Amino acid sequence: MPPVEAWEKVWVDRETYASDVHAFIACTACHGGQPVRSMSAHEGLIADPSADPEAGCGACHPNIAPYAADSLHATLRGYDTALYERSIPENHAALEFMQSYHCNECHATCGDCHIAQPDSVGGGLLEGHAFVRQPPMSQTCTACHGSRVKNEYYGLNEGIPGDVHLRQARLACTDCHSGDQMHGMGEAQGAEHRYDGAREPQCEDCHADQIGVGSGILQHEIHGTEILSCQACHSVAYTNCTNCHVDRTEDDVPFYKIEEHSVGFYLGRNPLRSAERPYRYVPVRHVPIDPESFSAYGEDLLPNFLNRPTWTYATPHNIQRNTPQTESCTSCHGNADIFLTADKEIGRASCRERV
Amino acid sequence: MKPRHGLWLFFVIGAGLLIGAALAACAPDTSAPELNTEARTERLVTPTQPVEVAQADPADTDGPAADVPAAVADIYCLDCHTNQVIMQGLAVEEEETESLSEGPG
Repeated sequence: MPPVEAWEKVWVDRETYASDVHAFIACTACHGGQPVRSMSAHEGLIADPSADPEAGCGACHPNIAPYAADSLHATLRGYDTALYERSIPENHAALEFMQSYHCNECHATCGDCHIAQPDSVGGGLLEGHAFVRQPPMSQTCTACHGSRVKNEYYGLNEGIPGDVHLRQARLACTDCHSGDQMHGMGEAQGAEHRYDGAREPQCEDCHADQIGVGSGILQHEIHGTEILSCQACHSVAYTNCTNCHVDRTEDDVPFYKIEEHSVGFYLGRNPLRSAERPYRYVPVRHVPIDPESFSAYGEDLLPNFLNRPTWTYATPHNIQRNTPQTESCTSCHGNADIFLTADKEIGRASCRERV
Repeated sequence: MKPRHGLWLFFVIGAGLLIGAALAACAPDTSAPELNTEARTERLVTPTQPVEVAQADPADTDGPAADVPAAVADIYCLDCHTNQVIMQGLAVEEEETESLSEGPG
């Protein structure tokens, strides 16, 4: 992503913005500030009026803003769900404090997608303050979803091709992930985690006639729709991280350290098996959580660490038509290498320490 | 030869028109609602005196502090924030601090 200079971050493109319907609204109506021609105009300025989506955007977008305010993008509730399940209520305050340093920059406001780049990558107006209906993928979506989704989708993991949906179809995130999903509406309303509730988006949305029995595709006829997720056969190696620890410097600058990361592909038992995700086997990804991940913020903040698996349900964004798994039956059947087995877990440094 | 030449020309023009029509039909709809720019201009430019061109140092050009219509305040904002020279002059590049973070994040 090209760096945005400081001046450009707040420069309004008069011509472009003039064609935007929002140009009919006075600047101060959203941004506050003082009606003077000087730097003191910035007193009381609200840099991102959409930080409170209902107050900033709700008056004109009442059909979206309240939902967006409660979406996973805005609340990061998915992290709370995972952390609290490993913790106890008495530790929630300490975890919240930790999140104020290490997570809050990732809260996505309406403006972080539709007007500016998110704060986590330095901010800056996208198109001279013109509102962008479909957020540009590289400046907004993958600016935050970088280390896994971006690297997988763009093919930035060495030796691993990018997702076929990008390479051949040039699909952007918004081509599959609808506005409702992004805004926490419809099936996504009230979701506690990104894999909570309905499976969205669904491969069937575009590939309905190629899935399961009746598709006429031999491997799909054999495996049906309840043994393997699509990604089990059609995704390739992805990033797995181990033992992330967060801390902050004496100057209160937050940082993290991931002890180990590697690129690999592992099929495991589906840890989220449900009517929505009935598959027996799915790709599983190692998440960087560790019992001591937040020890800089308190002792034993995750006493129920084992309440959730560290190898989690995964939908890698590097889909290919042909993968090592699709080469032959023996790619999976009788091939222990492709499955997550105890010896592989014991082999990881994090696990060796605990054993 | 003349009639044959005319026939070729007819086919070429016809094919060109058909291709053009097909491309136009396939193009994404990027139209936006028509904006009433006249109304906007009227709403914004209400002061009797023309709005001054933005100054290099807006701190020296304090305007009225009270009872300023929102539309005028809007012009104050845009005077500076649409002026690349002023923005570049006032911008303060943030010092990049070396991150202590390690790993893919």
